[in-house]
Amino acid sequence: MISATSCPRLSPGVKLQFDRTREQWILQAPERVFVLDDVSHEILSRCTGETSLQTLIEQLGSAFEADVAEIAADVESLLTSLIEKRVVIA
Amino acid sequence: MTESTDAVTALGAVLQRVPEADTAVAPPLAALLELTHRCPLQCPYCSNPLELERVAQELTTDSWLDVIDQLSDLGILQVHLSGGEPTVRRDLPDIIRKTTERGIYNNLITSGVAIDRVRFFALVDAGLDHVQLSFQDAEPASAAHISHVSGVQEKKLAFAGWVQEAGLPLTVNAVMHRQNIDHIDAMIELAIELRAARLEVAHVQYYGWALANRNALMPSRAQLEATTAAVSQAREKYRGRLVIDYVVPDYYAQQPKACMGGWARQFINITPSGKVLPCHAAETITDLDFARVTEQSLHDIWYHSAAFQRFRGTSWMPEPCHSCDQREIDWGGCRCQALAIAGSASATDPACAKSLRHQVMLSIAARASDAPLESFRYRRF
Repeated sequence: MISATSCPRLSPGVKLQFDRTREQWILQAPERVFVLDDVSHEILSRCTGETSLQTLIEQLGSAFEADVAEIAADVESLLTSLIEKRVVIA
Repeated sequence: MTESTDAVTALGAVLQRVPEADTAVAPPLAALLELTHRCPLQCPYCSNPLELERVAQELTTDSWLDVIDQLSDLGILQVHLSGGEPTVRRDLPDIIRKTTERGIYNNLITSGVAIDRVRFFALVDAGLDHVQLSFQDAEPASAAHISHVSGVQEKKLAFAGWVQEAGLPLTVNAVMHRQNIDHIDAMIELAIELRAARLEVAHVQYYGWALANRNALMPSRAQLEATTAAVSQAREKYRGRLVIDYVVPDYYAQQPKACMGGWARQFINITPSGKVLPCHAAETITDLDFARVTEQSLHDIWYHSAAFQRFRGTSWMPEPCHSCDQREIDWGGCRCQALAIAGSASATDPACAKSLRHQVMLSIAARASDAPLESFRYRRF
């Protein structure tokens, strides 16, 4: 589990990139490519190691005028799955 | 927001939205560049063909740089720099720099024994993204025996240290077979010690050199099952610390693997002399003509060449494949294995339980793993 004060970032060797051929955001990782939709792109582009999980959730809440509790659950489940795959570090 | 976890999908999913390849061919995702067949190691399961290409046949630096431009224009996202041993090419920094300039993710697939610290850090400065380091065994004496190079382990461990020092992600590649498979736990611990993020436990697949050494390499079913259990325990134990990729060897499989993600669906392989293949073993299918990058554009080869069209999609499939509900999951498996065991590259992959040759494959495996241990026929020119 990630704590609210930890600042998630992409693991070494993982890059957020726009794929011009297929016109989509992707995460480039060792021998893997993850295709991102708009929401996962919004989350991962904030994973710079400088924004805490709590701030990140608040930012998304105001950007999308959405319920913070619901956002928190989604963000945590996405990041937990990527941490397990060693793509994100918290 | 509710679908955010589903939105992140792995490599193969990119193409799932694309119509069947018979009607529209999607751009390739990744390329394996075999920069050279030269290698100081002589592993008896080498994935290079029995007929190795010589240094005089190798593409020039300019040709490789042009290849990378063409790959980028085609939509390639990742290149694997392989061989032979890619670090014997002195122009490797230029090749890496070019991939970085073109926004292609690069992966160095190396034995780690043919490069010193200074040359390694020149690769890092050029923009190296990731390193996949092979280990022949966790035990130094056995690693030396399998690679036919004394002191091989010491060099690999030093190399792994430089990767750590550079802060680059490391994948450990462990090729498993009859003569090292009982050391699987030690292999996993080695990956942990080296702080690898990924471990590929790759059973030998039997084409080319490995086919010539089948009796010396084939594990028994009991050995295979013990390895599968060890991997699944380690995945649990090291969850979040070590990602383990694991593929069962064809001979003991029930379902065929989606070899290369399907023939000419995602991958391009380029040999040292510039021959363009849908997979590294495709030249075992001798009735296909493979063009060279010096003769034809990669765009033409990918979209129009007869060799790439031959087994693309599902329309080429025989029954029971063509009406099978797995046809767009395994894409008919491996054409080279079909040729090697069933005698025809168009046959149902014998790894599939539905193949009439499946029992033949299983009995070959049983006989090979029971046979007295033969000496290796080492890979050499």
